[in-house]
Amino acid sequence: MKKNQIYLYGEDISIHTKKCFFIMKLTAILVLIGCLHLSAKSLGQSQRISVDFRNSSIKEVFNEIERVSDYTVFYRSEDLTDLRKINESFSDKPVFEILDDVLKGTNLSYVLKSRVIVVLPKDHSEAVTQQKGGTVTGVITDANGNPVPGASIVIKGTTVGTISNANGSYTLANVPANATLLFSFVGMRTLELSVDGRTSLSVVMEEEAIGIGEVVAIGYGSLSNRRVSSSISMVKADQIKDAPNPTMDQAIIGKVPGMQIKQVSGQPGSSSVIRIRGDASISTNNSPLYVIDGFPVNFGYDETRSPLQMLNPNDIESISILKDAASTSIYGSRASNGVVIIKTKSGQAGKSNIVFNYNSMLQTYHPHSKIKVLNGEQFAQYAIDQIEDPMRAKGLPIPADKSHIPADYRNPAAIGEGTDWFEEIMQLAPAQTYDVTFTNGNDKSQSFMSAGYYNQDGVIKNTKFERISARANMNLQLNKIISAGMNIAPTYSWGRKAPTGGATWSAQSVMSSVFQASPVVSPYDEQGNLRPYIQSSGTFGYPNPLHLLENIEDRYKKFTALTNGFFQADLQNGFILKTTGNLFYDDTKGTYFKSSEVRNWQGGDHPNDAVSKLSDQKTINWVWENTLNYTKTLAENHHVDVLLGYTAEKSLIEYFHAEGVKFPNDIIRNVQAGEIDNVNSSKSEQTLISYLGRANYSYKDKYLASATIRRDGSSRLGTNRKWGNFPSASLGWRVSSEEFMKGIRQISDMKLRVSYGLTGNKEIGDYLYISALTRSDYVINGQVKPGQVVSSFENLDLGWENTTQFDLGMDVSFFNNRYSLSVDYYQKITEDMLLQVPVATASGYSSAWMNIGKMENKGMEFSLNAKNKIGELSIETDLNLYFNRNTVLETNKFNDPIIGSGNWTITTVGFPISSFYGSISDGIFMNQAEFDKGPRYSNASQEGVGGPRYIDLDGNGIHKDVEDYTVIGSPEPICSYGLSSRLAYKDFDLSFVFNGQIGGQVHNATSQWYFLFEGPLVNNSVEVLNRWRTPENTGNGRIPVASSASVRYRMTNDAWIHDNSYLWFRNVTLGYSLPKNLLNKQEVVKNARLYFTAMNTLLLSKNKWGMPEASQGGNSATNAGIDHNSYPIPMSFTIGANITF
Amino acid sequence: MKIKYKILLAVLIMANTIGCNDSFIELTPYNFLSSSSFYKTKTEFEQGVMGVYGGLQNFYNGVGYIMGDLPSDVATKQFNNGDRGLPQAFEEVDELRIPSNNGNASSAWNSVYNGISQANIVLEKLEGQSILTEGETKQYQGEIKFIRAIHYFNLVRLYGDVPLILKPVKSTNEALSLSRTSKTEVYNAVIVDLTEAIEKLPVEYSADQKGRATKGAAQALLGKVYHFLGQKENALQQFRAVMNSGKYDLLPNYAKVFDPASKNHIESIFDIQYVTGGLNEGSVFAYTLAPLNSHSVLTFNMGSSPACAVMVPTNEFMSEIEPGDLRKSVLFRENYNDASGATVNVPWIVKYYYPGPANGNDSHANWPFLRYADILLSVAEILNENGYSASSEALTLLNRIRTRAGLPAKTAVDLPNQEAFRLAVEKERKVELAFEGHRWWDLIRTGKAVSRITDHGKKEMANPTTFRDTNRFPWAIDSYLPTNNDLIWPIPQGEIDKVPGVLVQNPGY
Repeated sequence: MKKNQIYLYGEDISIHTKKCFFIMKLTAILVLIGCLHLSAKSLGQSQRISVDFRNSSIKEVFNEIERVSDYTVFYRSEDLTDLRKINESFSDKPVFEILDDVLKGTNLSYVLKSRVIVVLPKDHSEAVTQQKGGTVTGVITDANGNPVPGASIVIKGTTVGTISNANGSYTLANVPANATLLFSFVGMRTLELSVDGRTSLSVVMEEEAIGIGEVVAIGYGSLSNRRVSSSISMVKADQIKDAPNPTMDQAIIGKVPGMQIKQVSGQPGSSSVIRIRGDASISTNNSPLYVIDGFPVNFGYDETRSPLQMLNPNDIESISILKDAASTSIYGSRASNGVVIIKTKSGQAGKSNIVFNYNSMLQTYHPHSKIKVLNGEQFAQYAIDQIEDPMRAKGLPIPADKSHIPADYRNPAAIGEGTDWFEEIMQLAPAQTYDVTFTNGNDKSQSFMSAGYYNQDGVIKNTKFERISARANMNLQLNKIISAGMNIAPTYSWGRKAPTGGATWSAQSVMSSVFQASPVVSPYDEQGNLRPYIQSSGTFGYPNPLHLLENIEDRYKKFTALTNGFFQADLQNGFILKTTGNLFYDDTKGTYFKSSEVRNWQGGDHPNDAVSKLSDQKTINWVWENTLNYTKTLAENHHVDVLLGYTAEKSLIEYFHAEGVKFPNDIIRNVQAGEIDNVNSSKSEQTLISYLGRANYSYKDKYLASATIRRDGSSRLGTNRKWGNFPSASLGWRVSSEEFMKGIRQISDMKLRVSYGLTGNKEIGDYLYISALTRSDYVINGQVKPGQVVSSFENLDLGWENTTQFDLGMDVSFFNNRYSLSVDYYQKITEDMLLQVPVATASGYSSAWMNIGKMENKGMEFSLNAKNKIGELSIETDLNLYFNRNTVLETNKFNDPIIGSGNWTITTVGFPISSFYGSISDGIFMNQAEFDKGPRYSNASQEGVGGPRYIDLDGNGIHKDVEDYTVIGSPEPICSYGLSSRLAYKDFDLSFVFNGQIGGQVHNATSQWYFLFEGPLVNNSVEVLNRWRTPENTGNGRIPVASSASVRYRMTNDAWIHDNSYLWFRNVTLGYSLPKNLLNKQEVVKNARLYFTAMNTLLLSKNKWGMPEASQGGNSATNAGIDHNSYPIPMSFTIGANITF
Repeated sequence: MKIKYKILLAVLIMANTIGCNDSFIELTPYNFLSSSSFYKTKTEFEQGVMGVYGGLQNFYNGVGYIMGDLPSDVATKQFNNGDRGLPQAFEEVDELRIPSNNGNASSAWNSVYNGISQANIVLEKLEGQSILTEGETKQYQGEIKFIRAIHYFNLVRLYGDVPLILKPVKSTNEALSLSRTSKTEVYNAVIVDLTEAIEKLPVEYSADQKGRATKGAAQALLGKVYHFLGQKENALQQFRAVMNSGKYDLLPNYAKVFDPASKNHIESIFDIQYVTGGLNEGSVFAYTLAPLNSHSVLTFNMGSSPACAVMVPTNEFMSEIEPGDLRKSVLFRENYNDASGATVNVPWIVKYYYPGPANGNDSHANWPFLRYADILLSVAEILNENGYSASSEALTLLNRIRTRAGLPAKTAVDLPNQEAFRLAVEKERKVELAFEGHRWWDLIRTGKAVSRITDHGKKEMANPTTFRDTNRFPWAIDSYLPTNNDLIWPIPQGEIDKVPGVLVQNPGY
């Protein structure tokens, strides 16, 4: 791979190192591709190690040094031939002493700087061959005047360069007079200088707080991955930059074990449902806490307008997912669902770039979203059968003139396909992204700015999402002590939503009518106008879905601004004091207009009154944080990092809603044009005060310990229990640093971790512990007299929902870090849940908020990373597997089950939350004899031969709804998995992501509701062709007769519960970067890449129809896994370009 | 160096300004009042007491107006052949086959206990406060105890033993352990409350306070409680006190008794007050007692849903009205004309139907809870039970009611013995007080409920008052076949399920 070679002395020489992952990083720095903004300290030159060599080659010696230390050794293989074997033991010696020893008597010398050792022939500086063209020489020194050996000097725009020798001096031949030289060295700020005809160019390089090892963002800081002893997953910009993703959540699907990201709706701009390590709560919000550039944002969940939409994925530098209590409890009362720390990009000294991204996307509905229903011909025949089957059963003659059949069905063949309503409302939908970013900086100030415009049409006609986003991130180093910074990110988005979702037969859900409306009616009348209403003989009448999309205007506008500013004082001696102010502002305005032309179902003749609605919700949330950080390495081996903090925050939500009715016409659509009706407004606040502390200790980076505590006081909780303490502790052990491990060369790194801690949840409404008064007036002497009554239970003891979590983990790297594996086992128990439990109404209240109930999540996570090179092909692959078991342990004092809406789900002791609830089907009553055997249902008009039969669980001979219901499945999979891979070959890159699950069920409620048999005709899935018709013609034996005897087929039973195992290709991207030598000819474009992406395409599913991640209940934990009239998830194809200037 | 410590100090001071102050996390809601900061002024106490009165409105707009007539022989549910959902809950009450998940059973339970809870809360707040004058405190206490007595009297008659809660429930644990108290104790509590109310309530109020509970109302109710319990002397004592107070009399015209134009008149002892005007203070009776799809007969808007005819007069009852009875047209009509002018033969109750309001369920009719005519007939009944006499006060009282209704006075010849008189009073109560919530309790009180309803049911099923497609909807096997168990309602199943093992169901359910 090109990147793994640099040109030493102007010659093409491969540099060998065992730490291939490391070299990618290093060379990345060398050739000035960005690197992370890190804070790990250089180890200096004094690291002491213990090694033991028995007949080892020099190469093996270097390998061993690399393994046990933080150093990476660069050398030329041919320099190492014909050298003596080493037989020596070193105990706790500095690395340079060992090197001096082993290289004694050779013609090799070395330079050691930061964590790099470069081994060079002693005579190399004299060995420079004469080159044609100008030669530039110079000395590279650091700020203290010490030489910097091993620094790279590259002619900008080429790969030609050299490195400095032990004295820091360099000579580079063949340098064009107008060239620019790049000076770079690990841990130092890269410099860029024009030659301007000079032959001597000496530079002073400054140290930069950039480490080599991975640095992970943790709460209120960052930590070297080596010192992490808790469970954190990280996704970096590099891993998501290749594929275009409209939102951050879609970008990390399938990439993080323990994190489930479900695309529940395809509405442009809609939210995913996100869970980290299962549902930790029954009634409160189960979404993780998002921390954006240090700002914990109270996002909540918005089904159609994702709060994550305000983040432009191209602005994201890294995403850390904090999973165990040791990492999350620093966020105390909001952390029980995990924490997602998002860091946006920042400017870098010495780096200035303009990057332009453009892409164009075409989307179409995913074929799995479409349930196959009868076409016109099939439907007409079905209607005829509905008339003739009972006649035949009674032995009546079938009139030959077909007079018994309504005219519109008499000739099915002539109808042909009829109207495919689903296709009618779908469109091929374009989307475009325009994005530009500017990066600039020097040692005093760094800035990053971006602006983006995104425009997406939905696959359902007349749906849309657009976003304009901007960001400015600025950092200033004012003097040696004071630094300050500010991030400002305003976003404006707007969209139009389709009337989808909701119950079947709801008048204004297009997804309901597209499957059920009569296919023999065309959308347009004879004059070519849209029919408002669809009905053929005997059918259920639906408003025309196309007409609905035109005549219901549901729009929103959303302005969001996220701002943070900090002010930091470096008090020296390791103390850093920082104060940060954060402000989040969101204003979401909704407008809705339903024209008077819109019809109800079964209400074809009656135009309705037009309705207009206006709503506005403003959120203002400020957070003020103060931290004092102390970092110190004591007696060389003891590294201490202590954090103390105090934060306060407040959030205010104001809501206003007004409706207008009885509009004189449909032209003026503002609320005030009608009669004002139903005006309401509300205002609500919450506050939080927190104290936090954390101590990290590591001994030689071998033994790690960390403890955190947060004390939170919340306005939401009862007077007696406002304050809660959330402690945690973790321990880590780098086994690979131990003596006994050094013989095991296959293992390059190994760490064991254990953690335990407590986190909380308070995501209930505001003021719920207070007993509220509501208006209840009375009449005295004919006059209304105001009255007040107490309407809710006062619970001053309403306290935190507590989640304790135990985590045991291991990180291992093999074969010089080419493979790395992380395994975690966790057990998470939530207690004292915030539940609104029913209480005896004799108390005066029907329910009360209490701390009761208990639930467990336990599981395992595996993630495997592999990096391989085969010639010029490099492959990096991440595989993760995730097992979670959720079990409800207690619901209330009497352990009553919690039944979800529509009696569809049950949350009860011993089963996973939101298990499916219903009858167990037992085929159909094939004939009279079977029917007589029962079990029967009490209502004779709703059962009969050919009808469905269910198991009579209580054995009383009667099958009753709810009474004979049981748990019939659960949306929880046995295992979820994700696989992502990035391949690079020369100028091409290819990446793909797929994810899926094994096990778990989905409740296919959409098709369940087609089986409307007792009343008028509705269209049905093609499965109805296999129905029972007579005792002789029983179809496939699973689909009951199409008569009112099958009414109860529609009641929830396991026929609608399907295996939800699936595998889904979420993203496949092929990119091509224009060759460097082509770009070198001009000086404007530094980098240009073109790409093609296919998203959400191939879906392998055990479920015939419907989308595996759809969920009618949205974010609700107790109504999960129900696919019911949801907006189809699109698949898309994109072409795009990234150009760096 | 100095500057660093100044920064540190500044931050610490700022932190302290918020941090050490718990008031930052003690927030007062914007959208509603909190009960802990209420009941601090005279106005707030007055609003609290109005809230307690409001509980009566809720109950009588819900189940209160049907519970005394629908199960009896005077009223039935208009059968709805088109909607087999909600109407069934009323048919079950009518036919005395109430399942434990009946909506009326739970609705009554919920609204009565809600009213009791408000009464308990305000009573507790009244104790030990020094904001109100002694007189004001006494009056409020009297009013609330009177209302609480109404609630418990309704509860104990409907359900038998019920949880007796006389203090606010404050802990969730307590709210999950409220078990039933014997009905004797509940009746005792009712008597205690009413006795205290009599002592504390004023005889009358200034004109602008008309409609509030008076001493006479408490006496009348206590009389009725004693009467229901068979304690005739105690009852008579209270009724006499009402009669002797000089504050009550019959109106000359029966029709005027219910006319919203002249509320709180001399015959009214205590009405549940309603007023129209879109203020959420109207009564629903005019709307829910109108026949199905009878939009055309009503001058007010019925909204998009049809009227629901929760009660209509039975054929049997209508046939018993004596010729010339002036009350007949006040009580019901035998048909109505639909939009096309065609006559629809569905009888309907017009006692509360007074055109005027914009919406049917926002009517201005009051609910006549205690009426002087009831007291007079009760006294007549007790006197007769104490001993028949040919020319007695009892006969005079009976005839005061009859003559006002335009009927000939009964004589000793007509009513030659105690039993004849007993039946005459029963009949008179049946007509005079029809659809005011008395007939069912009279049947219970006299022990006639089971036999009367069984007999009535036979007639009703043979000749249904309203059309019923009995092929599609046959009578249930237990329609109109009550046992003694059916004379009290089931404890709502939902309540039993909420606290398994704590609340025990009535026998037979």
